[in-house]
Amino acid sequence: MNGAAQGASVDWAALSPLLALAGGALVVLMVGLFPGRGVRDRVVPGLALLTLAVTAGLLVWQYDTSTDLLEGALRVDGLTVTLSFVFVVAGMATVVMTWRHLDPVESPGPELYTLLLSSIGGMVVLVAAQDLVTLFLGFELLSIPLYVLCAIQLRRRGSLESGLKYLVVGSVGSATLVYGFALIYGAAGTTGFAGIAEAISGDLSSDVLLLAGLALAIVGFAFKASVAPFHQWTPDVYEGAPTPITAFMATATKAAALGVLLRFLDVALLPAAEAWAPAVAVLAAVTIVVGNVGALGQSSLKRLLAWSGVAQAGYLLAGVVVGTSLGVQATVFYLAVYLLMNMAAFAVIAARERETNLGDSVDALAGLGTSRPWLAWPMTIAMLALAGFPLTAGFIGKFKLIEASVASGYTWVGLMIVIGSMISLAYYLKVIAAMWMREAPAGAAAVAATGPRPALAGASTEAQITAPTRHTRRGTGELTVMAVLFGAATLVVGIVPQPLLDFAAKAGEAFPGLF
Amino acid sequence: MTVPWLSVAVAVPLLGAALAALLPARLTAAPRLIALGCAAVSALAVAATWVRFDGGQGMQLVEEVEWIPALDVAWRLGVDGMSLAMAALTVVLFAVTIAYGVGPRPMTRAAAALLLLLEAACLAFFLAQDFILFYVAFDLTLVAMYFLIALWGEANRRYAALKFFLYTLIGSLPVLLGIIALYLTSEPNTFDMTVLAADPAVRGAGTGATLIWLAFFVGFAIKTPIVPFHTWLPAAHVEAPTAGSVLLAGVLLKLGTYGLVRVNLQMLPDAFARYALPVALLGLVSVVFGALVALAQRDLKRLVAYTSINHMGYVVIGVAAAAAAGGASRAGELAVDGAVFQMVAHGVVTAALFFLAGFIASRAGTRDLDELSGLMRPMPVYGTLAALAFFASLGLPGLAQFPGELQIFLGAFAVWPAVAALAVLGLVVSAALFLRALQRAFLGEPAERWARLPDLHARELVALVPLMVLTVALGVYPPLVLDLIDSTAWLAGAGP
Repeated sequence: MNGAAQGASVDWAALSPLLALAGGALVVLMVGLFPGRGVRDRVVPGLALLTLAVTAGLLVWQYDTSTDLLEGALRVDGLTVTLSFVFVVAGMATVVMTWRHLDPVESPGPELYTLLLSSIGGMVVLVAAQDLVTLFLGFELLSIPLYVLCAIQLRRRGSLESGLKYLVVGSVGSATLVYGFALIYGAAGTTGFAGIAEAISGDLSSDVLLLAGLALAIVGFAFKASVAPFHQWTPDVYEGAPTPITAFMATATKAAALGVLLRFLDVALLPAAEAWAPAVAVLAAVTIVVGNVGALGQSSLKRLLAWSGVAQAGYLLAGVVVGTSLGVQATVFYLAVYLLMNMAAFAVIAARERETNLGDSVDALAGLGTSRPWLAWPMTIAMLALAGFPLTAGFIGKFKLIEASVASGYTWVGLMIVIGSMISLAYYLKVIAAMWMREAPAGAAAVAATGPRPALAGASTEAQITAPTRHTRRGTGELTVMAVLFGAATLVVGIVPQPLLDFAAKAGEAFPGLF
Repeated sequence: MTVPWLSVAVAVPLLGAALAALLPARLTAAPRLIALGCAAVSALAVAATWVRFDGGQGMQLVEEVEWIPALDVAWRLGVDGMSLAMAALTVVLFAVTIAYGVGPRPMTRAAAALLLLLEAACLAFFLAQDFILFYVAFDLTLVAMYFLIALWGEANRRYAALKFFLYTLIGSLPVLLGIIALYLTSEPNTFDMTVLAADPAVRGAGTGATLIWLAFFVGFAIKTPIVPFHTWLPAAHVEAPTAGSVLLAGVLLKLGTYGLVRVNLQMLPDAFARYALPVALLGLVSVVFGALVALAQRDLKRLVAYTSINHMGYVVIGVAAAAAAGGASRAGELAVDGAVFQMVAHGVVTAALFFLAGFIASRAGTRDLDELSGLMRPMPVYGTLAALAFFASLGLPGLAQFPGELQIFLGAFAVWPAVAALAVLGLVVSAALFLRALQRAFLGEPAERWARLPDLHARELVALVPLMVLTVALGVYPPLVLDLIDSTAWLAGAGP
């Protein structure tokens, strides 16, 4: 579009979503400096939402773009645009969830939203990267704000522990990644993806230097995508982080990590597919088993979803392994669907954290079917969808992944997805059963019913009453709306998947080298 | 413009379910009226289809609307004789069940919605000519039945509901894998079941075909259930409310055997021919095991549940014999016709038996055959109908189950005389157990506490009498349904 200009010509239009995110992050930070609770509680989240909305609008505008930017450092194409939508929607949902989530005493202030927007910016850079250097830049821009976000509840031990753990493990992952990049550069002599692909399509594919670099890079990505056996941090970090941040990590970070794997493996390293595909397929299978088995005994919902997220990363890897545009489409579709299902679930968890004093335990959901049907239904749909039940979006998603695997000769990976789904039923149904089959525990019921007066007058001590009422002061209206919206979307996509399939097919078109 | 009757039959209960669920709670009479109305419309739609059905071969009256073009998935419904017979069974059983009701009275919104959802799913399953629709319907039946058991069942209902759900859902996943495999092996790729049945893409009995066949078989065997996949059934039946048991035995078990015929037999004939004998032996084990375990039961509902395993075993033997004999042969035709006839007959008779078990439990507070005694005296109508149903279930000539079982035996005898001969043992045992039950609980002097039990009232008669009429009609004049079944090309793809 702008190619005729001299020197470092920049296609501002294609770059605009990224600029909007970066600009928005700065504006939010500056505005947050103004005093007053109104600014902190309303204006700043509002601005963050506005930034994301503008970014979404720009993405719609750039929907059909397919161009290299900044001397081939970035590429805005179908994959970038579709995944950016996923990040933006996840970001919006996170803003809504954080709005009244954190205790006023802890006062997250504007930095929460600045960090969130920077992290989303990093994700966009990451999936758009066409060069090892930009890729690493995006990787760190995504990670560093997240470390802080995990620890943003300054006075809660769990949050701090979560942030520190994530920082340590994430740094190891980054170091591994950068080491791998160095070796790949050594083997290929260039950092551009196109150059690497060209270099290794010769006889380099058996080069020890390249293979070692490849292995290290995949391990680095595996940390971020919580692929077994590099997943151990996931349950702890997910459990400790504030629930909205957990939701953001579970959906957006996962999408970014899988997106960059798609880009990196299926573009730069496609000529060496023989070298990495079997290894990644094995990783996928191991991840499916480890994640599903790990989820079985969990009683904390956030831990359960963390383990289930590990398993789902395994399913998603199947779409990466096959190296076909069908696989890319399946992966992107599943990432979008995964966002819908998980956000519905996390909205319900966050709502119950406010309403009860049971935190994110499965017990907090007991009896929800009768007491809060508008929360119980989205959660039920989300769990069924995660298990891959027909008429939900999860079914179509898994179906596409299995189809992609079987069509490319990875039938056994497809089989693993099916077996994993079987195991996963045990823990997803446990959640559903808790909502519909159990009575609400007395303590939780009392909290839910606590208005201005204690429900069990005389029976409760002061401490028992005051702790929950502090929670109940914060309403859950927006969370209910959010849960219903995402739950309904999960159902609608399950029944009418064509539009979202077309959307995901756009990402598949971004890979001209694939068939 | 012709009315798309098949779509009407499926869509009306589905819309009715949504309507019933969204009604304001104060309209207490409305859920029942909506449920009855939708069931009636659905039944009329199936009747209209029967009238238009010309008795020819292959799929007819196909209705097709695009659904997910990217996957070539369509809303594709059609009938052949087997589909039509099963759809007719479905609408009849749902009509009487809805008339009888489930759970507290008046019928709640949830009950009406779940019953209608279940009806829509069952009809969609039997009429589907698109594999994805078929699979979706297969799984949707689980959700509805899960809630029926879990919400209105007996003391241990939650355990039973979960066990039922887990077992059958785990069984449905291999079916999904099989469907994808069939899709990918067909040329061009299609989910259209008419195409796949008319010209099976998977020929021979190599490793690939065997695996696909096995995936479907396991899924359908759990649903049927065939021993050793049956352990969910007694729990589910005993804990389910009466309406749940009726529909579970009457309609839902048939999903498994229907799938065996439609997919394993029609689409994978060569693989099935190769593994026919092991399948027949499993069927034989089901027959003998079901009968023997039923013999040891004191709980009438449990007894009926185990006889279901026994009766579905005959169906499995029939389908296996047809697979071994091949479609062209007389024996194969006999066996598969008998199997499908038995599916219909068993649906009617067992539904009646579960109603009878529910009626006595609601009066006497027990279904224990050792405690009950002399029921014929205070409840002559109940006793007579129960005796009729017992005789039908043990396979007395002139009643519904005889023609099907006879054909199955004839067909199987031509293929494996020994299997057929041993299967007859099952008949002997079931005769013994039903006669003993009759003698223990119905004949003789009633104990003091049973002497004043009231006989059946109107709502119970409305549910039971149509089934008993059908039991006699099917036994006396089997061509009523047999012509329908016989007219279709069973093994269109199965060449010699």
